[in-house]
Amino acid sequence: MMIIYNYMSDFFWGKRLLHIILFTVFFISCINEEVCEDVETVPVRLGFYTEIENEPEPASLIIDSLKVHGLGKDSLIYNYQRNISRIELPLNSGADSSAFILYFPAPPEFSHLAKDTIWFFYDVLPTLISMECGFASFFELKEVRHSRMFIDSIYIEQISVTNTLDEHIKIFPFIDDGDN
Amino acid sequence: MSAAARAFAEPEVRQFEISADSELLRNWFFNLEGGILRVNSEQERFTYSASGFFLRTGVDFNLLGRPHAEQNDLVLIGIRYAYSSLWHEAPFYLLDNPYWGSHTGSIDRSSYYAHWMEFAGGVRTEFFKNFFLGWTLRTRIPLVKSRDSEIQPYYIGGFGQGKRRAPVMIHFSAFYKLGL
Repeated sequence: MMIIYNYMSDFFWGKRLLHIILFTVFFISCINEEVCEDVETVPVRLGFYTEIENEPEPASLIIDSLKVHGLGKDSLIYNYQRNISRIELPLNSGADSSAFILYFPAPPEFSHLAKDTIWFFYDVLPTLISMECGFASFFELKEVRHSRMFIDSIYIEQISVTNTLDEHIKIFPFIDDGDN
Repeated sequence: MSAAARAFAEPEVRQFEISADSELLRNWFFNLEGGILRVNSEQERFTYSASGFFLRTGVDFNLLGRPHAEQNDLVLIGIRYAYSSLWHEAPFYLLDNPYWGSHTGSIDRSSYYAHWMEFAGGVRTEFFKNFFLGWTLRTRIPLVKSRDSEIQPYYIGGFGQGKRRAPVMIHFSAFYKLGL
């Protein structure tokens, strides 16, 4: 016990200075530095993947060109974006579902076949981020459906859509292995 | 004192806390802590209010012991059980969504509770006769929280920001020793 005491006596020798420093650091640390732009619209993140034989984890897949817009909306979220392996889609916080149309690269004569629609069904979770930023919508995914023109399957990896950088959905397109 | 510092950084959140402890067994300090919470924010983009109370009880052990009678400095480790209850509401909020369009909503007044455990470690030093300043570093492990609340509270009295899962916080306290 004396060893502990001697050690701590040295510690307490500068106790007033220590407290002053800690109080100062604490007051400075109270300054709120939340970046509101980062949380204004919380997107659902989707990555493109392909299964590799004898590999436990799927490999990331790069799509040559991708166009995306919301169902019933004209404005594009992605406008033939090149070399893309991950996309971020803004869910509609005014409804409990959102749908998006994805146009994949294809020869002109097959372009009408190379598009899929993805529907997201979710609960909207309004969340007060900070007094400065106000409310943002977080989401909890309940179900994801998709057409099967280009997309083979979808796997929901994370149902909570919040202000983190997590990927929520894995998309597995049909892969032409050249045998057909 | 930590709550006072927080009010300086974010005046919409007001928390008052008082703590008492007694060395019922040599080097064992049994403590009771309690406080109240008020949150009130009326802004262009949202209004939010909350009020509640919290209680903590537990025990601290003085690692330093009492090698000398005049030795009043303490090095403490401790454990606490805590409970917080509050009511909160958001009569108006605006959710920005540049793609689908912004919309407004409201959340009715509802109750919320949380139980958690705290593990604490810190020091307390005698600045003047019978007047002590101290700090404790605390980690909080949630046990049970309300599940039926429509939104997560912005601030849970005694716990911290509602969006944090297991916050680690530092408490600064001033104590007066009563000659009982």
